[in-house]
Amino acid sequence: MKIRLLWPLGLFLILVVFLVIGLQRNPREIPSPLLNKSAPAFQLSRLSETNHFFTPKEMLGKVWLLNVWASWCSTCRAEHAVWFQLSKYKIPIVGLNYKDEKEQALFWLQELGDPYFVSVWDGDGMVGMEYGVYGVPETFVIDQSGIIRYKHIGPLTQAVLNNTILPFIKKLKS
Amino acid sequence: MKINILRLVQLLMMWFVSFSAHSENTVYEARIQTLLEDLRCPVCQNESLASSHAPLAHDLRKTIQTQIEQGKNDQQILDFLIARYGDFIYYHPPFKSTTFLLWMGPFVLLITGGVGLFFYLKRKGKM
Repeated sequence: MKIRLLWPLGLFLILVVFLVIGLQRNPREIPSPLLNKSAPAFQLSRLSETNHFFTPKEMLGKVWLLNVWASWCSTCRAEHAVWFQLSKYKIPIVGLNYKDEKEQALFWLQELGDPYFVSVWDGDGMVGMEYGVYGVPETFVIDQSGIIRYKHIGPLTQAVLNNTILPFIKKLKS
Repeated sequence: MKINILRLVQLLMMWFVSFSAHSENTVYEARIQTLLEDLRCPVCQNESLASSHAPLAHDLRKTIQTQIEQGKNDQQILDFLIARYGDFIYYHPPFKSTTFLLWMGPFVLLITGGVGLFFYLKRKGKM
């Protein structure tokens, strides 16, 4: 008889476990279907030199990062300093300037510094669409054979860099 | 009189042409609308692509429109979107290992409850 009275408590505890798990998940992070698939090809002009083009093929053989950013994105400003930390690891970062005004983007790089190996301009956001970008900033880790291995959504923090991105790159390089 | 009949035929033809063009347009609009209602905006996750004001939703609507104009069918457009944004974008998730609980959960609960109720009533009846 006493055990039967404990039933509601048991059910309640199961509910609590589910709610705790649910609260710790970020609903804004949608798993990307592009993981472990080839990075979509594109050809875009560089931000500074309009008649110079860039394509991801140029990066074959290297582990590199594709960072989607825009000058209108305030969290991009927050993550910007972290990119300079990466320069000492000699990992090329390609900046994809997403749905932005060229002048404002260039002004931003002048003001905050330019951590990018190359910056390309995706004014109409069509390349962003190929990469399934839905909220800037987003960062893709792409391996030597041009396959997307990791995607980080939202601003990159020092902790994410040290605990996730860098070990991941190390693993890819070995 | 002859001229009048000719005129009438001409008017009727014009009327039919305008009517068919109009209905074709409504079918086309309705198709875009149904498709958009079935798609979730990745930015404003509680809104469909039809109602969202996010810039991305605007871009996606434009892309869908272009693809329809290119003669793509609904499945091709869905495949295009799911390949980029995942199953998340579609309000009718497919049945697979990761969505097993989503599809089967309600039935599991129903059966568990039913079995529980059955035994409860059986025991009560005995007493």
